[in-house]
Parts: sequence; structure tokens; C-alpha cells
Amino acid sequence: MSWVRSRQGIVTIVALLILVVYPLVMPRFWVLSIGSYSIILGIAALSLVFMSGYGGMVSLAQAALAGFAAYMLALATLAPSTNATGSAIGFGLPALAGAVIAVVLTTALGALFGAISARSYGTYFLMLTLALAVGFFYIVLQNYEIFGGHIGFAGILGPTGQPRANPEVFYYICLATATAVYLGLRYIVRSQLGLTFQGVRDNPRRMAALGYRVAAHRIALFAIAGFVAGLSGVLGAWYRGNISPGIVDLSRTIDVLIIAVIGGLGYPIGAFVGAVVFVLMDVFASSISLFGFSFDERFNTLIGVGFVVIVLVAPDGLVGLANRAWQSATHRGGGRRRAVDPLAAEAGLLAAPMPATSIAPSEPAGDGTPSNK
Amino acid sequence: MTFGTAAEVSAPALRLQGVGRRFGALQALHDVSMEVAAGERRAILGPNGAGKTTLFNVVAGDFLPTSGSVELFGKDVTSLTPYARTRLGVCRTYQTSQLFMGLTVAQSLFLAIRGVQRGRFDPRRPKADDPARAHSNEVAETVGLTSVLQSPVGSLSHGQQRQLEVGMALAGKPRLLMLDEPAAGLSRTERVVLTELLQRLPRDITVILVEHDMDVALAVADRVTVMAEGTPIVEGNPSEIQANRTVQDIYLGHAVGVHHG
Repeated sequence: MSWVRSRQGIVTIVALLILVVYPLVMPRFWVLSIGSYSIILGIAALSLVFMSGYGGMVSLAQAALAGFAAYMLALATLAPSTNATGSAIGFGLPALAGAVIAVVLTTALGALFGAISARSYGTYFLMLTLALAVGFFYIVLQNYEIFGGHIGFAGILGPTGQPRANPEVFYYICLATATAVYLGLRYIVRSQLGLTFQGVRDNPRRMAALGYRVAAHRIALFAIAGFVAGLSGVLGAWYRGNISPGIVDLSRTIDVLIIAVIGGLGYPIGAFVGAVVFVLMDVFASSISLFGFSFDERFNTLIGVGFVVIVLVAPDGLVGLANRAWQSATHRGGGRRRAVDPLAAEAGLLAAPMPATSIAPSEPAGDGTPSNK
Repeated sequence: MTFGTAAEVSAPALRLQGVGRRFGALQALHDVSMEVAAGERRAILGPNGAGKTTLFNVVAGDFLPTSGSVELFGKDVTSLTPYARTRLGVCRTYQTSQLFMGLTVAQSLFLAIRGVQRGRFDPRRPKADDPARAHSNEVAETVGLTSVLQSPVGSLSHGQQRQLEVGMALAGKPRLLMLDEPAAGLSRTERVVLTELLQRLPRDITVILVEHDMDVALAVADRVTVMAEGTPIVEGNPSEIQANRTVQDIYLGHAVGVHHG
């Protein structure tokens, strides 16, 4: 395969090698709290990047979907009668069975969210998904019978027990899941279905005129993104061992968006790059001091400043910045974008670029001037 | 492709009865009744604001009429969605190109072909021997885009984008092809190429054409409908229309003077 010798092929292979060797050489804290946690957040951000990049749908409901999966996992796997109000709840299923149920239900909820929001675009879509996310937060916060209210659930065990017991194994579970999701989405993007998503992204009206039920395709995209967010939620629940409404609150919703923007909304791999940066900032903010000013307890300031700088300096995120730096360094058609081509043969594995996405639905210029992006 | 029963085949491609469309206080279409026979080439002329594009949108289903009924191939489609009408065989182009700027020409044509076929939700990659691929190459050939098949749509020239606009409509195997000012913004040479392309279309495709360029419209059309203020005022063959005093007064005065002395 020719991509093995291409730049992207080499980057991919080196990156995968590093990721595989990583837990063998790094301390336990780096394996679990930075490595695994970054991957989990990255999968959640990937679900957003996928929706926005390939469907033009910037959803704020992805953290809620991930949280829903975590709750469903808890209900499926915890032993009965662990409920805060004492009523019997929980089915005591094995961890993997619970994970399957949680992800399937989350996919269905993604489809439901899609059915509610599929006919709205741009800012209205953003607000509808935000409303769904906030609504779900208040449901879990106030409902004690099923969701355990503000207490939530504790004692959720993964297939290998507590992640702390086997950090490397848990890391590899996360890495394998992320790789499978990444490759799966790459495949879908280049499929017939994926092409329809991109058509809907670029021009929903034309898609309808070509014979497509646009809303149905947007619902399908939301369901797929729900599946991905669900996987992140299951891994996150295993990682923490306990869940509470805090995992679906507004700041989590915003975290997912920040991660996606830092990495680059147009690049699937950016979700993971953004997650690593986010987690490193989160962990090490307290140990950074600039000109005698300590960032202890000022993680939000740091990430906020980082976010603003990224949006102003590199709207296509760190991956976009790296891509442009590479292109100008090698003098290869500076700034040239490679078109996404599902029908074309193999291309690189990492950093597959997509056309820039915006919050607003794209309206092709049709005033007689050819528009060149 | 099936063409339905004998009764449906003999039915007109399009029949409008008393169609009206109101946008608030604006009556964009008023009591439009017309029939376009199967296989006919119909040009719709009229000054700006005559309701030509609104008429297209009502026939394609983008807007529902506020009164009257729309029949396609003998079937009442008044309340049918745009995608359902496309699957019945209505394909259209737009006055301002409605393209997929992030996709390539080949992908755009592939989507246009698949839109009226099964497998719209197929999560697999199209196979190398998928007939839709060969078909999209044929359509690209027809509209002269073979050399830019793998180029992003956003990088095409305006003329090429207009060619793709027509190509995507043709790719959907239309029984009724509706072209909204296909020559808009084209150079003189490109107009000649477009006219020849339209003249070559097989007669099992009915064509309705909105066009300001008389050379294109009258070279293609069998019959012409002239609209003004939201309603058809004259219908006839091209020579009758050119000779019609009313038409000259309201619309063709300048055009006839310039192009045909």
C-alpha cells in the first residue's frame, strides 16, 4: 500500500508505535490519568468532530449522550438495591453486556435527539442540542428513582475490575476502542452513506432535489455520533468508577466543544490532539507559573486563554496549524486543501482534512462569481 | 426504468390547475393553469418577478401552492415532498448553482445518480464496478466535465459549475427536466455548447426551460409560455410568440429588436 511510504503513512505508523509502547515505559499516573483519560475525552470530541465536519451539525449534546451511556451502564451492571432511595434498581449484568446495552440505547437516544433537531440548522440546531443536554442534566439531577439524583452511582467496575488495578490493560482497551472508532468512521466517511452526509452538509436543499430525505440522513448521522459518544461514556464510567450529574453538566458540554476546537473541528485526529492538550493543562495548570503568577486553581483561565488564542490564530486548530506549517516548510502548494474523496483510492490514515466547517449551514455562492475556498 | 401504464404515458408530463402561491401580501403566482405534453420542450419567458422561479419551486415541491393542484405524469403531487417528486422523475437546476462545494465532480454526480436509486443509506463503499460510477462518467462526458472529474467543485470555473448543475439534473434519469436559466453567466461559446446539449436530449425527457437568452430558449423550445405578474398570458410556438404584439410590448420588445432586427 502506497500510503505506508507517504508522509501520513509514516506519521501514522510512528504514532501508533508510540501509543502502543507508551504504557510500558510511562508511570502509572501517565498511563491512566493522562493517557486513558485523554483517549476517553478524545472519543467524545470525535463524535462532535464527525458530526460537524461531515454533517455540518455542531451538536452540544455529545457530553449528555456520553453521560447517558454511563448511566445506562451503571443501571445495567450494578447489583440491585444500590439505589439512593432504597428501591431496587440495577440488573447486575456483566460489564461487557452492560456496555453493549448502554451503547445501543445511546445510539437510539442519538437518533431521538436527531429526530428532534434534524430539521433545524446552524444556530437553531446548536440551541436545540444545548437544550436537550441541559434538559438531560436536570433529569438526572432531580430524578432519584432511576438516576440516583445528585448522588449518582458508585462502584461501577469494568471488565478488568478497577482501572487502577491494571492501568496498562485499561489503557489498551481505550486505545483499541479509539482506533476501531477512528477507522470505522473513516470507512463510513468514504461510503455511500458518508457521501450523503457531506452532501447534506454542503447543500441540504440540493440533496432533497436529488431525491434524498435530508432529515433521515441527519438523524442517521446523529445516531452514529451517539454510538461513538456512548463508547466514550462507557469507558468514562469505568475510568471513574462512579458517576454523578456532574458528568453531564454544562461545563462538560463545553469541554467537549473546547477539545474539538483546540484540536481542529475539521480533523478527526484533532479530537485526540485536543484532548491530550486539554488533559495536560488540566493536570499541570497548578504547577505552571509565569512571571510569578501561578495558575494554581486557574485551569479555566488557562484553557480559556488557550481557546481564544487558538480561535484567533488557528481557527482550524492545532492539527490545521501543523498541516499548514508542514506545507509551508516543504513548499508544496502552500495551503492547498486535498479534497475528501470517498470514491478515491487509499489516502493517509491520520489527519484526513475536511472542508472547513462553520456554525452556519453552508450556502454556496451563486451570484455569478465562482467561489474558491 | 418503468414508464407506468399506458394511461400514465399518454398523460401530460405536467398539468397545473389554478395554481396560486402567496408570500404574505405578495401574490407570486396567480391562477396558473398549463399543460406540458410528454416529450415537449417548453420555454417559459417573462420579465423579472413574473413568477417563473416560483413556478419551478411549486412544481419541484420546494413550496406548496396556496391554491390549485399540481399533476406530474397524471399523478396528483400537490402535497408531495421534493424528494418524492424527484423519485417520480422530476429533476431540476437552479438559477444560482446549488452545488456541493466540499465534494468532487465525480462525487456530486454519484450522489445525483444514487438519489433516485436504492442504497442511499448503504454504509459500504461503492464498489469499483458499481454501475453508478460508469453512469457518472457518462454524464460527465455529456456535459463536458470529464477532465475535471476528480476536482473539487469549489475549484471549478463558473461555466463548469453551470455544466455540473445541468449534469446533476441529468444524472437523476429525469422524465421531466426543469432548467432555471441554465445559460446565466455563460460565455457566448458556452451558450452554443449548452444549446447543442439541450437539442440532443432524447425525446423521452420532457424539458421545461426558463431562460432570458432568446437564442438559447427559442432554439430549444417547441412551445413557449410567456408569464407576467405571476400568471401565463400567452402560449404558442416560437414564431407566434415573436410575432405577438402583447408579448413584444411587455417583454420581448428589446430582445427582438437587438437579436432579430
